[in-house]
Amino acid sequence: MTSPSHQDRNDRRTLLLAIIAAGVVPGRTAAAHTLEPAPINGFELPEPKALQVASLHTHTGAPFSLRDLGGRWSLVFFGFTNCPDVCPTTLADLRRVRAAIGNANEAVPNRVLFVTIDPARDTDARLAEYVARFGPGVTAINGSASAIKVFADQFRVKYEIAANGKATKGGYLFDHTASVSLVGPDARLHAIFTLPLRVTAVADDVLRIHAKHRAGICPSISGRNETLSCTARTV
Amino acid sequence: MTTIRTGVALLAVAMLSACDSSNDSGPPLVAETFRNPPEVRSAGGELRTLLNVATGPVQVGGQTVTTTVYNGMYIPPVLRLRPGDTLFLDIDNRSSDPTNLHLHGLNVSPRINSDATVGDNIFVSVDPANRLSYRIAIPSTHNPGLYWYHTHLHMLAQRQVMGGLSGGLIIDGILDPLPQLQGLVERVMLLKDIQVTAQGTVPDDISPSSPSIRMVNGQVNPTLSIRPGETQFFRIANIGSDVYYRLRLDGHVFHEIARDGNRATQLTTRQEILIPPSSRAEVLVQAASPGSFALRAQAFNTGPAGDSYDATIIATLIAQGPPVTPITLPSVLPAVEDFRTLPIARQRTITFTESSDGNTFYIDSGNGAKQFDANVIDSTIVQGTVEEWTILNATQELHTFHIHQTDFQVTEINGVAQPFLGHQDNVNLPYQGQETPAPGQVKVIIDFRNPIIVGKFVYHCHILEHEDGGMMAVAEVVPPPTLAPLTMAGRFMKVMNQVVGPSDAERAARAEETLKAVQAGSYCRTEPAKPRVRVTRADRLAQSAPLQRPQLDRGNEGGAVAVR
Repeated sequence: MTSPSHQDRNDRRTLLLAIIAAGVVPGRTAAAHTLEPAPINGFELPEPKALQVASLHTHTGAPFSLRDLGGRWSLVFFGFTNCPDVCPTTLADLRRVRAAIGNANEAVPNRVLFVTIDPARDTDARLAEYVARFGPGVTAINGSASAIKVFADQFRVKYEIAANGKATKGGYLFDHTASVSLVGPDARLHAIFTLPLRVTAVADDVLRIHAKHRAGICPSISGRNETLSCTARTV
Repeated sequence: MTTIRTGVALLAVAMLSACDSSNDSGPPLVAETFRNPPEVRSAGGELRTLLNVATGPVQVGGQTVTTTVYNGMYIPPVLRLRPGDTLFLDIDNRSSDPTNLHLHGLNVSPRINSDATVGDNIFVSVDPANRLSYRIAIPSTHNPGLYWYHTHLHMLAQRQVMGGLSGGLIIDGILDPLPQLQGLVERVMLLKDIQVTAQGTVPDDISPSSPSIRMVNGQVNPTLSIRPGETQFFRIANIGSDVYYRLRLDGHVFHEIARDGNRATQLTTRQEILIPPSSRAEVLVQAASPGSFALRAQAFNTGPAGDSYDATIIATLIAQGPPVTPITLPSVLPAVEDFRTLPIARQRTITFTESSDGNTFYIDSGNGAKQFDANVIDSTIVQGTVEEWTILNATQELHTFHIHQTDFQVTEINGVAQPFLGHQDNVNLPYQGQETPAPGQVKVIIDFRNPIIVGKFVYHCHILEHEDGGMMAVAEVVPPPTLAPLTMAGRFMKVMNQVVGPSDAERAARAEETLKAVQAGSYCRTEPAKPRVRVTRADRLAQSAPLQRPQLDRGNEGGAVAVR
């Protein structure tokens, strides 16, 4: 099992352990035991995960690089335009999430990225028509099958043509991961929202994570800003 | 097969009885074969353990079975903790199927923790060759008692649990307030059954009525020794997939002290105890005069559309040795909160239904009968409240209602008010026509006040054939509007964890494991559920009169999950 190693602890940790042992912090030595669950339906990564982008482009044909991935908050969904329900439903929900974020704080730039998992059928033109149905602020991402897979793998998103898909009217369907990933202005993966999306809750979470990110990740303690392990990142 | 084993057991009991009368000066003591399960115990406020999930040959019921188990053991270690402890548990999946974990009955968080460990969350999936770290913080106020853990992966749960992926969990301290009950011999009795094919494997398509080997701690009819007059503490859990146990102990009564990890309001003396799938009964047994006494699972039928289980002897109690003076059993137990005194914030009606062929299962939470869909919230509940649910069984077989993360109080069964005996997390639902022509009805009051249960979890039938067939629904407990999402204390502890917790590399690895499990749990498939061919059951239904199932003849009876 995972067993915390003490070898790579730095001096700061040692110092704080000593403080705890001295009784400054009440309770047992294992301070982490009382951690609260993250207030999110899904998974908020303790440390945002770095991502890589290669050989992708948007539905307008413009190249889509790592720099393009950053710069604002992105709600990323992997799907396909022939998807009968979960894709359009989620994109519709994300439109409402964006509206809720905008109503709460217009200064939080955000967008939706719809990454196709079906580049064989989803042409740029088809993607442009598709994302236009879900209002402004939705960008489709396309590329070769291999480039999309490399991108999806980083999110641990999986997909494959459904075994019984060939019998459907539209040709085939995909089995696929259906969740929404939150990528920050730092082009890092911050959180996964599992379905169904609660619009207000997701918007609140985005705003909270945005505030945390802006503050350099560390929260305020006793009225002063701690800077321990704070690493405000930008691309 | 079962008949032969029962016969052998009876012969053994007869031989034991003969031994008892063979020597007037005091018969030699019969050797006890019963063994408590192995256990791992917390120390210093935490229990760190690993469960390897792997497929291989194990000895079960006297034969070799190739099946998937924890740590190579059909009966894995009992996890023994105390209130306030933290369970650190890793699942290392070396099998060929995905799996996950549920801490059955614990009132703990269903969420993913802020350090990327996972709470009691059944929406994640640990794929083959993957590993996942769980961290379960057990509140200091948690009820002591008998619980269990098991895999909870939808559509695989029945086969995985039957195959061996379940074990016991004890929160110590249930007898602490009762001085006269200190020092009793404790018997942890985990009831588990398995069906074995001719090839020595667990069937791919399990029909619960098929013969199974029913065991206690993986032992067929073990003998337990007790002195005449002695009181022992039997902690009995049904950790199998489908089978009901209606237990009777020849010549004895059960004094039930707790149900489903909840100490009762009073000691209740019973001739027999019904233990539906997932339920636990903790009882005191006072030995009678010397002799052998069979602990019997009596024949049981779950209804015209249900399953039948033959009678069998699951253990034998041998009262022997010098007698002792029976202790006086407590007449009063510590008080338990009566939920009927609390304001009811909302009433709901939850209806269990199934298809006319009895092979597809639904729950109607007020928005129509539907199969389980992890991406749909069926009941939204405000944390801090108490609700009354009326649960209807509109089928002709028994179901069991179980809800995660909390407990409830049964107030009414088929219109008859129930005495207040305590709380539970599982209740049997009488079938339509069992007592009245109307659907079976159970009213419960459910406690949603505990703030740590905020999040998404499920309620379902704990006959796992039915759960896998769709009889499961999603509840989400949402915080009241005024509750801050993360307290200052929580923020402080989060920083402390970053400082004194695992290294950056360990945190990153754990986060990656959890990311994989969350995404794997969000995987949507288009293929239909495996057809469940149950010829004997269909035959029974075909011979019975047509049933009134107004909402069942829908287009999705083929068992398809939502098409994505």
